[in-house]
Amino acid sequence: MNIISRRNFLQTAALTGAGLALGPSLFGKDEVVDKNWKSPHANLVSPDKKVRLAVIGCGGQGGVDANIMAGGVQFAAFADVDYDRASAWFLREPNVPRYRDYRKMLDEQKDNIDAVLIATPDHTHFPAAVMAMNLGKHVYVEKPATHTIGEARYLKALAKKTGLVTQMGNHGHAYDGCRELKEWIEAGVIGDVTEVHIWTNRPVWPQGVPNPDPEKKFEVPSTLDWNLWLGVSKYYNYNPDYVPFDWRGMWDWGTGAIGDMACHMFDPIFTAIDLRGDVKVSSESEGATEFSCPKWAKVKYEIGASKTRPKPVTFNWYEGKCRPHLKDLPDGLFKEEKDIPHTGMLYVGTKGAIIDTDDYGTRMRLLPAEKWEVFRKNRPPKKYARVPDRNARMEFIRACQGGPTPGSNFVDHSMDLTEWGLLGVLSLRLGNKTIDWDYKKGVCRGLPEANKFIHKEYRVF
Amino acid sequence: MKKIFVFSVVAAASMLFAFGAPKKEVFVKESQVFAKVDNAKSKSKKWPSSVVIFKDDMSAAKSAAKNWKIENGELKGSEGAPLVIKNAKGVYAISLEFNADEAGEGCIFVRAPKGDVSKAVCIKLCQLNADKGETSIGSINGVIKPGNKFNETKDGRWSRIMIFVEEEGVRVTPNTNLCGHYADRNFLTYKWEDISKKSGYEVAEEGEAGFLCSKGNLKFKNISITVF
Repeated sequence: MNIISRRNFLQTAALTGAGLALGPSLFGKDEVVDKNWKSPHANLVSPDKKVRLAVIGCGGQGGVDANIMAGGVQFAAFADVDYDRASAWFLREPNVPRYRDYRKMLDEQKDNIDAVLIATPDHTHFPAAVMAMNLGKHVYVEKPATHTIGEARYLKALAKKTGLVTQMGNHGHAYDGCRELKEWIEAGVIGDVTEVHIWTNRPVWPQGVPNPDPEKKFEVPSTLDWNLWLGVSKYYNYNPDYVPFDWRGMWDWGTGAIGDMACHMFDPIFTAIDLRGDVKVSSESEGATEFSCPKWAKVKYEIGASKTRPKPVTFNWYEGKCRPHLKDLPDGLFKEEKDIPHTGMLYVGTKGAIIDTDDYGTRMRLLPAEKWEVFRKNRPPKKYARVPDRNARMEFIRACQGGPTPGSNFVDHSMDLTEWGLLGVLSLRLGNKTIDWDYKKGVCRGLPEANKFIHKEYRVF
Repeated sequence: MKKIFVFSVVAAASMLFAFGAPKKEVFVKESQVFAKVDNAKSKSKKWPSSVVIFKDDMSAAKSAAKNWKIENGELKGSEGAPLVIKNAKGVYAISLEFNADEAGEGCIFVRAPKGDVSKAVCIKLCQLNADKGETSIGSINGVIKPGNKFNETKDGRWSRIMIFVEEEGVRVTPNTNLCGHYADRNFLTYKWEDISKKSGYEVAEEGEAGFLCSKGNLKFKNISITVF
């Protein structure tokens, strides 16, 4: 969590002549002051110039991100393996160079690019980010930023080494919820956290299904370069059931419901308390195959106490038809089964509990209801800086111009968060084996077969 | 030494693909993915650029037609002969904005054999008598209608349309949101064989593309063509 100074940054900026150009819009109105804010990042863009942004993956979520960034950037180039998906941007920005292959784009346009937005399927995030960062470009990478734990650790190290601005696309991190939850827990509102329960209605795409007709050769749409879509993945014949969306439930390209939603739903509590360290992860699920993620799953993380974590924490994830039941939860939080919301996050401490029914952490309240009524009129003071307009995409763009480091940057936050989510994926991929995670070494103790999922292989394409 | 070997493997593998040798998959470790950027150069082709046409002159027209003219960067047409575009061949996309007056009606046609619009695939632009249930923008030859109706604007605002002419059929995106989150790629996709069946004549495998104004007046701007 970055603690950002507004007032003092503006003082410093005014002295250096940057103040007017950066302006107060870089900061919210109610920040906590950091007297010595100065961007630590490399390759910053002058605040009086627009960030030259290249986009890899222009359809779907990439289109949404680019649309939000559009007012603050100059588009430098577009890359998309499918002109059908990219056509809206090709039309909207007809003079921007366009490519099928991001490698060619980065190679040819590297002198015209400051930052790269990467919004491709999960398996392509890593190679695209590595290439962009090796060329000195800041990167905004959609969530989950990586497909394996090995990739998350690699990107964290690369971000540290290069000093570039980085941000994962878990945009809810820029909302107030993460900061509020941290403030409430640090103020002792629920005591020490001992239990976490997080549940979702995902997947809303096929999981636990056989590979649809892998031998059949469907005609590849003329708009799509299928080999480039596969990228570093092993080769599969094209199948219209894979793209443009259902790859999420297929291990070679996606990370299933947990991979998709952990970056959002785990984020508030991962921000609020320290969950880094050795951990045991076990799971139950049905229908997973080598190809497909499971129909439903429950994952349990058990992490011990430490200097920064006063009590051991049990962290439970439920997806698909699974959700917590009264018997799973402390007595008195809910009267009846039907009172438990269909999706949510529940944080249980030694002195109380907080529930949140929004995927992005914006609908928190204390349980039971009468406690909430008292608390809401007497909340703990704000300690942590808010993001202007709660806008994660512009937080990244401003950081490229010398503004505050984005909250979900690779070094301090998002790669560790991604790893936490991918530990659940790892247990599922290992057929629900309990894993004993050695945090320092990045290995599963006594499970050498896990290594192929921690560090995968990449096809040369 | 080990590094040099790995880079050589990557480079050799890339060359094999580039020269069309039998495809044997080669895999590398995460630390070797673009560890050296020079190895990442791709041989794949760029997307073709879009060419803006009918902005300053009529040079993109195959033949002169008196009922078409350029004014203030806009192509203006009135009832009369079709305007055939040069070089719209193979797989291509046309994108443009259009505006019709109250009586305006017309289409963009593709695959017109030797400019014969009566045997072309006509993508309707303007909808008269919407309240009487007539076909909407994006309908084909008046016989294939979109599941959802899309109306052009008749209040002076411009409508936008993109037409992709592909090997298997034609796709139309009228007045859609620019960045639909979960866009359906089959949205308003029509196969040539279906168009043939319903139209009562065989759609030509090759043919010309252009504009037709059948009633009133039509205006077009920001017209671009991309040949893939």
